[in-house]
Amino acid sequence: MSLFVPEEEEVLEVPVYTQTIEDIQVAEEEEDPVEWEIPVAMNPLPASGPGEEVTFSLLQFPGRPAKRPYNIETESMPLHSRYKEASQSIELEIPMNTGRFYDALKADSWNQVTTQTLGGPFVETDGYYVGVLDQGIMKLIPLHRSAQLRPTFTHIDAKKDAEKAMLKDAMKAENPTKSKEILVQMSVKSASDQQPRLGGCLAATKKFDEEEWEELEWVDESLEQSETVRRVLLRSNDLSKVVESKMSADEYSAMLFSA
Amino acid sequence: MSAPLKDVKPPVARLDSLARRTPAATPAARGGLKFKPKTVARRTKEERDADAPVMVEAKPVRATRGGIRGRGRGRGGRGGMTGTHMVSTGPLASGDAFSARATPSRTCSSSPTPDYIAGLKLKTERISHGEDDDEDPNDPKRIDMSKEYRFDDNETVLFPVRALRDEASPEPEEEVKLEVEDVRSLSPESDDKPIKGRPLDDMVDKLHDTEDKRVVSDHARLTALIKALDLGDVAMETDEAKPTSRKFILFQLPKQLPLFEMVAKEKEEDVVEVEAKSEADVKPEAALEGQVGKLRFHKSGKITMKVGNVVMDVDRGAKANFLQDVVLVNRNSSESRAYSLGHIDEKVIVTPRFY
Repeated sequence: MSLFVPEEEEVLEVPVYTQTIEDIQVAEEEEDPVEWEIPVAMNPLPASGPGEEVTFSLLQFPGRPAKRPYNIETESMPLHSRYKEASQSIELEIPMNTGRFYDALKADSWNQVTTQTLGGPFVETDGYYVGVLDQGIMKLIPLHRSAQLRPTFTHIDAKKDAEKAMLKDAMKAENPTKSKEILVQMSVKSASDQQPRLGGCLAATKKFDEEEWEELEWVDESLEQSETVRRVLLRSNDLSKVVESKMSADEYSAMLFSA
Repeated sequence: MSAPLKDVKPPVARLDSLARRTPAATPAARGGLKFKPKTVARRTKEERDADAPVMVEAKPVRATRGGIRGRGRGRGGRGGMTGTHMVSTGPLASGDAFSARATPSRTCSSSPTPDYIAGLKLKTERISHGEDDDEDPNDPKRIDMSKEYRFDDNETVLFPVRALRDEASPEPEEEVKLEVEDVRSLSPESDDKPIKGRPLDDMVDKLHDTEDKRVVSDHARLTALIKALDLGDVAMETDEAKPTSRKFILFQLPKQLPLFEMVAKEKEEDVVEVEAKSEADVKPEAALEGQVGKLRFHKSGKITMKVGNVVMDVDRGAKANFLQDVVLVNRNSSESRAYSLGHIDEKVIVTPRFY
């Protein structure tokens, strides 16, 4: 160990903190000057009114090409959109083109399916912003959450459930007395606190299944209402003022490392 | 030993070796009891003669089977089994000698089930040939899942979406491949030369070059995009009625931004840590608002963003081919609505630099 001590001291003598990040930044700017710049402004959602909840979300459709959005233009605007608050889930019902790649026989077996249901849970996001260049300012609107929507195949589940229900009914019809007895036993069991609790995924599924869908009215991007919302979103804030940061680059990087 | 093996077919070579061993083996056999009858029985000339024609018959059969010479070589014993019993008992004694001497030059030929493998190969070949014959590149029924669809966009509505292969820039890929070869060539040399050789440095430099080129092209693309947006916007700036853009850029900033102070707020708050938690984001009154920095376009084409006093790097994120909608959900007691506002076009990643 004694051998290494002097060496370490020598290394420490090499100047480390003589140059601040600011100095480097200045030097870089001299070397590669800034030609033009665009102001960047934080543009949070305007305050929502009482009894109102406004969220700014990103919906991702991994199964849909970016060139073919779900809107009026492509004749695939969502017919229904549904939301579950507690489970943070959203569902869209997309009309299907029944003239193409459409199997009418299959559709019959699935109770005349003419829509595709896409759904997925929301995930909170942090550090993501939607940027719009508006009136010469790059306006950044913080995103609250994002969701990836994939086909839910609810029509297949519905068919399965229907078959199950039919079987159950048939069983009940065959021996109604027995089922009554079982019911009594069940009530006794449920009264005790011995029932196992559902954990993790099962609990979430149960919660999801028990929650009712809340209908959302889908407003297409091309409609006047959406334009109004965009306008309010972008121009309600006074972004001309500059918020000051007294934090130096060195202090910032120190803060990042300490965090 | 080796000369007859190469020139003459295996059975003969086998007999050859047996013949040479007889003088040496017989004296030993005289001393030993159990092994003697076996060896003697094998090596009598009568039996050899009896074998010889059989083996000769076997040869052409093998040749017609597929012309794989190796079949008889490595496992002479097995070849012999098909012909006579004599050879089949032999290999334990003499077969070792064969394999030890003969195999080094012909190792690849030995296989436990040559017929089976040969048959497999033939089949696969046939199948692949058959496919090649059937495969008509213009056959619309045939869809090559590894390639892009040749169909019109409308036809592929329900087709799976998959990531495009980066066919636009084959050159950098080639470069990278070359570099990898460099690394391989380096390892054997490392015995003689110091490991800190130049090939590694070269490779790193090349990688940096490739990366730099990519960054430059990304920046050029972003600049073009923003310039296009900006010009369009400047022209209309006075016109309040101008429709807002439906194309958005997704920005990813560090979760922890430099701290800002609200300057012109009525309530003069000291250092509001507005970016600290996501909870703060949800409450609009606490959210950071106003001009926080500048997107700067350098002479060299580089793009940086100055947030507060901190200069950050700007990079173009991977382009997503799938649809990304920006939606504002407004829920209240009377009616709940989801406003589709537009789509994400590009992604920009802003990273603080650590010097």
